[in-house]
Amino acid sequence: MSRNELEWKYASYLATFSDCPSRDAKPRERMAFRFVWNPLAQSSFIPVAFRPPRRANRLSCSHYGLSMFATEAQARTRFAELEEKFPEIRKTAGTHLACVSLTVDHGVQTHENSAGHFDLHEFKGVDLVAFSSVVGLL
Amino acid sequence: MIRPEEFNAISLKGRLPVDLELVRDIEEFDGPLLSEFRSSKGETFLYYWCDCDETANRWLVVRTPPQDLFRYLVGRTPLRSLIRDCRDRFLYVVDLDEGSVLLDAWFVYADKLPDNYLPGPNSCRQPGAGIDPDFQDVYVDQKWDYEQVAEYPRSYLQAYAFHTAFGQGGDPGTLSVDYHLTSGWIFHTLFERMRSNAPSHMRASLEAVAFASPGYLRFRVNPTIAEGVRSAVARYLSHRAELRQAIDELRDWTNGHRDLEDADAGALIRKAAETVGVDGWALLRHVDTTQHAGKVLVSYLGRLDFLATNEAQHTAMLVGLLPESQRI
Repeated sequence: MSRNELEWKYASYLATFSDCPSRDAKPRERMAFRFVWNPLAQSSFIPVAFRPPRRANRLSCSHYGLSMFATEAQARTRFAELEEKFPEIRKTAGTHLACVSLTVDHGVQTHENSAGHFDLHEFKGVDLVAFSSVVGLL
Repeated sequence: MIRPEEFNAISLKGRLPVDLELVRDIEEFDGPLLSEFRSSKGETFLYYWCDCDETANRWLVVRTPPQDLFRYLVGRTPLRSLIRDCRDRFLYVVDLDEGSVLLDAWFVYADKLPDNYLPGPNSCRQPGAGIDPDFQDVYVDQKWDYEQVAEYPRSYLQAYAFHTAFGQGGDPGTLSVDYHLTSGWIFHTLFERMRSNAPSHMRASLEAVAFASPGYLRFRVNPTIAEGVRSAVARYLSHRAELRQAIDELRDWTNGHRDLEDADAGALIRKAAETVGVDGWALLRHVDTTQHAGKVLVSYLGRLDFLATNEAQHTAMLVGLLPESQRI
């Protein structure tokens, strides 16, 4: 499927940015880790752009993706850093860690940064709840 | 969210007494968590996210002198101290809705804040980020005498000038260095020639200085060139012993105290240049002789050594320099 034929879950919003998702972002099969609430529900897979109350008043392409980490250790390290600086972070980021079994049909993934973080931009109709399981408390 | 009256905050009747404009976001996860703002009087304020409910985000708004912010950005102080030990001893609590509309505001003394509204004691920032791309900020943690006050900006600007010609994103263009061009050549002239050779948008200038201890320097820079200088300082710190040896060898050779074939000297110049990420081949092409190229490189590496020594001793630290664990 060419990029132009892809149907994004939030296509009308992504269209307001140039190169969104980035052309470097690619579909990939992998295990990934995400901060969620327990029990798992759709509400844990809503991009931050749609999750009230929003903190960002200047939205970027990234705000329409789902934050993920490459490994459990990287996710836990990042959460520990965030919680040390922002003790109430659980209220906005999540309370549990979930493992998500991503396939090439779920969307495209941006490059990981040095902390293992990347964004998943979902294809239309994707429901990640069925592909996720809670690993434990954050 | 806790009712602010429970920690003795005083209502400001829905009005924040300062007008603030966003400068940049410093800490983010799914949106900003710590942002720098500037008041109409030019003072720096931080917005620190501390809580939320279904309808609002709560932020602490605290006046933070630039040197305190830079101290945090280079990893020398925890975020907690910027808030708990803020200079005014008081700050503002604001609730914003998701359109950033102010819902309510309070005044509170910093020592009255509940513990869950304060960062933890280990809330130091991993250096390597936090740069404002158009500026190179330097956190200064030492009382400098008059000579030192002049030396740091001079060394930084000269190293930067070298990078406009031979560093990442630089371009030597038509630069031609002839060591015998003037009698009594001084290195100041050499670096001035590199500076003036660069197009105006690539040049750096000293923008602000506060020489109290702690203090800071702010240079206006081209982001790519400045990144190259930071990278060179980081590489110098990682390879200091071998680079100091290369400096000694080249200096002995250029002063006539050591015999080296021109080809061997050229190889030594290229290797030292490569170690800090500058273009040794271009240097050899744009300087009239290998010996003079050696002198130019030694002079540049001397500036890097000065910047790196200040970094290692924590006396003057470049904001955005990669932490030791991430250096090449």
